[in-house]
Amino acid sequence: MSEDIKEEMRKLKEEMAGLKEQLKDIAEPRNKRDRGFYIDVGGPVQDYVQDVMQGVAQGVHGELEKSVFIGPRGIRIFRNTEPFRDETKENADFGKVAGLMSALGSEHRLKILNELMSGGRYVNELQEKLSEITTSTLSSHLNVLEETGLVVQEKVRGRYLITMPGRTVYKMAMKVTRFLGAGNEE
Amino acid sequence: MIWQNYRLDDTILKTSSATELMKTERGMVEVGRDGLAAAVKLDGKVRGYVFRGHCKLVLDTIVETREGAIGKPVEKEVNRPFLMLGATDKLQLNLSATNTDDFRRMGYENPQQFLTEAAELLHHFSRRKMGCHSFPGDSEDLIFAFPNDVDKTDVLLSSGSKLVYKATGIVFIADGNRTILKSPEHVVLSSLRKCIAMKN
Repeated sequence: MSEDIKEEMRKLKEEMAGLKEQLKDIAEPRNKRDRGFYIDVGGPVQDYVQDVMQGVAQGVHGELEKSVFIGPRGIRIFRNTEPFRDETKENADFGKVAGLMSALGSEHRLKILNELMSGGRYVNELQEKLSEITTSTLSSHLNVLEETGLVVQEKVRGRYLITMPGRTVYKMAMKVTRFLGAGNEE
Repeated sequence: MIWQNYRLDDTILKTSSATELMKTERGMVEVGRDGLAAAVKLDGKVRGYVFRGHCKLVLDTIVETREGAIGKPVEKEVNRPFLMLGATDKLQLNLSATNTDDFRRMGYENPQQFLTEAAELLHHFSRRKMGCHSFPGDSEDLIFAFPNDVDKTDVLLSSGSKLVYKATGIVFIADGNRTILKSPEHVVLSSLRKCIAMKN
C-alpha cells in the first residue's frame, strides 16, 4: 500500500514538473530565449504586416525607377534634390512647351543649334555652313530661335550664341532621339 | 572727392553728325546729330560733356559659359541729358554753334533750361560715393552717367577691355575673359575655365 502511494506521489511530482515547464514557456517562450526577440502574431495581423511590407517595397521600387535611368548606354543615377512633383498633374503651360517644341521642329534650326554648340558664330559663318538655305530664311530661323530664348545675339559684335536653355534642350533632343533609335533597333 | 571740382561751361554746342562716344567689343554709346553738348571742365581743361540728344546705348551684358550663354544685351535709347567724363580730346567730336531752334527741338525754351538740367545731373553725379582718385588717366578711360526712370543714375565705366555697368537690377563687370553678371535672374562669375552660375 505504501509502495502504491509512493508511486502515485512520484507520478504527481513528474506531472507538476511538466506543468511548471509549460507555465515557464507561456511566460517566456523558448524561441525568445533561444533566438532573440520573437512575436508570433499569426492570422490576420500577419497578413496586415505582409501588406505593409509590400507597400514599402513598392515605394522603394518607385523611388528607384524615378532616380535610375536605364538607357542604351547603361545605367545613370540622378540625384533628386527637389521634392517629387507629379508631372502628369502639373499645371504646365502647354502653349509655351508647344512653342519650344515647334522651334526645335526644323532640321535647319537644329543644324544652327548644332553649329552654335561649339561657340558663337556670325551670320556669314552660319550661312557658310547652311549654304542650302537663303540668307532671309536663315535670318527667319534665327529670329524663331531668339524669340524662344534658345539663342541670343550680341548687339555690338553681332555674334549668335546658344543660351543655357538652348544647350540643355538641344542635348535633351539628341539624347531622346538616340534612345528611341536604340529602342527601334532592338 | 575729385568730382566736386568739375565745372559746367556756359557755352553750349551741338553735334554736327552722329558720333560714337565709346566703342568696345562689348559696348557702344552713340549720340545722334544735333545733340546739345555742354562742356565739363576741370582747371580750365575740358574733361567731359553733358549731352542731350538721341543717344543709343548698347551693351552685350552676356556671359559665355561652357553650358551656354547667360544674360541678354542691353539696348537703350537715352532721351535725357547724360554725362560723359574722360579723354574727350581723343574723340572725333564735330561740334558747332547752336541756335534757338536746336533748343526748341530738344524741348527747351532757352539755353538756361538745358544748363540747369545739366548742372543738376553733374551735381547728382558728384554726390556719389565713388573713390576714383586717379581718373581720368592718360588712357581712353570713360565714365558715363545716364539718368534712369527711378531718378537714379546708371553708370558705365570703360577702360580698354574693361567694362563696368551698374543700373537698376543689373551689375555687369567684364575684364577680358573674366566676367561677373548680377541680374534679377542670375548671378554668374566666369573666368576662362571656371564658372559659377546661380539662379535667383
